Amino acid sequence: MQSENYTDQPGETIAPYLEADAGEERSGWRSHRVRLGILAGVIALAVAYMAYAAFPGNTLYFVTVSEFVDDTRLHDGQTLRVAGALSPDSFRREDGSAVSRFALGDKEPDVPGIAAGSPEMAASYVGVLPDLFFNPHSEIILEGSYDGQNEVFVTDNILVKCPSKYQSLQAENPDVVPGAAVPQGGY
Amino acid sequence: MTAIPPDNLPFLFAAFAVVWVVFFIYAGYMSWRRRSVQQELEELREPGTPANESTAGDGGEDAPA
Amino acid sequence: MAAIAGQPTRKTPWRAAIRDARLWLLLLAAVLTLVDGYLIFVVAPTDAVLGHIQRIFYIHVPISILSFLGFLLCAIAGIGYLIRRGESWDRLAHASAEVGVVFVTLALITGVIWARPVWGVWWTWEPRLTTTLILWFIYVAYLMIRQYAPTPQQGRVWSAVVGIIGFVDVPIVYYSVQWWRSIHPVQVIGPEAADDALEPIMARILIFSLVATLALFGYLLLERMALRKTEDTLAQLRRDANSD
Repeated sequence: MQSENYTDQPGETIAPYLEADAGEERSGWRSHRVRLGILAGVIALAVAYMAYAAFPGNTLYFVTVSEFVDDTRLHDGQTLRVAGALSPDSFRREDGSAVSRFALGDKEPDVPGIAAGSPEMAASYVGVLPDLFFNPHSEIILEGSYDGQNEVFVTDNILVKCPSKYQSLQAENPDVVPGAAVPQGGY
Repeated sequence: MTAIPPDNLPFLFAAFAVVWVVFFIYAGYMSWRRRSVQQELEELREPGTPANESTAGDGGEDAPA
Repeated sequence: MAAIAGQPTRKTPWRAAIRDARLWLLLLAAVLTLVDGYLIFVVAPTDAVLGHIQRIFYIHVPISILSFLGFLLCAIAGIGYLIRRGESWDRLAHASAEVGVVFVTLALITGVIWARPVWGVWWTWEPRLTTTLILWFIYVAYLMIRQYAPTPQQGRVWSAVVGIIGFVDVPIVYYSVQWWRSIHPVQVIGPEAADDALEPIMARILIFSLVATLALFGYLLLERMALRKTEDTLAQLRRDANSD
């Protein structure tokens, strides 16, 4: 945060360099150049990594359920993200178990539930579900890989994408008190 | 149909708290540092020339570059 | 360079006016922020899907937009500096980059805090988040180049170039949610926003928050420029003392 200032390096007399601007070129040039080189290297690597992490092999952040179902090359157990909406009534979880089984279908923007006539993909997940998993407005993004033998998408992580429109609770449903109770498990 | 939304208040307050702490620290740091630089400036000026410009370095400069 | 040290500088009335403007802006920002807090926590309706956490929106979005403004000013002032080589251009570029970095850092932090309860993760390598983090790196690099350049003069020129080229990332961040598949919601403000993205009351509170945050941004920018000016004067004084 400190602004660049004029060198106070120990053991160096500053005065001779200050006669003209050209004189400044020499002061601390070496260490500065090394530091700048390291800096440039670190930043280039960081940016390259981030670009790679976001767009590996120029693929998309996620594929839709129908894209996944249609493209059997994606069924070989590679790690990928599949996005869709929770298929109504598909959710199953035994009491006391952390294993959830459900199905996803395609999601149309701003329309709750799955798109009419959409293919479905069976999925399993072990762990705590996100708050908005069951909200019909949510688009669910699964990170994981397909288990071809059992024909189920084995989920490592669940992400929830929310609608880009914001609407007040009062406008949508005047009776609900915010934060009164968080629904757990199903509709 | 709409599910009742979760409240997540700790996250909400954490976000606002971080924003305000960062703004306060940043503004406070700047005005503290400006005052200390200003003081150094005045100490350097004292011998020789009269320090008749008490607000030197504050605001703009004589000729817009 | 004009020898500022040792010579009484002419006292211009607008110098005092700028100092006053800074104080007035601080006061204005404080009042607007208090009102804004009331609007955000009391007046703003609770979001039907997200609940109370959606109130982060009213600071996350203005802070993000003002980081863009900071980098825009930095790029414009960088161009000004490369053409005119005036110290004031460089001061504006430097100050707006630094304030921009503070704002984009807060945009990232508020985003991360919002993402955890809603998306279920603190961070994911998706286009909007990644391009924003790249933006952060670019302008942190800008500030480091200023520090580590062999001479202050070179630091100014090089950083100006970084600031101008780095600005290319700003529209990429804005359009990333449209150009690529993303988990981040699409724009709710600006040229690409849907008309019905927000309820009218939410849109009005967002605009108010934007104005309040703008006042704060303006104050921080002026404060940073004043600090830089004081530092420059001190450095000049030291140089003059050394070369005597």
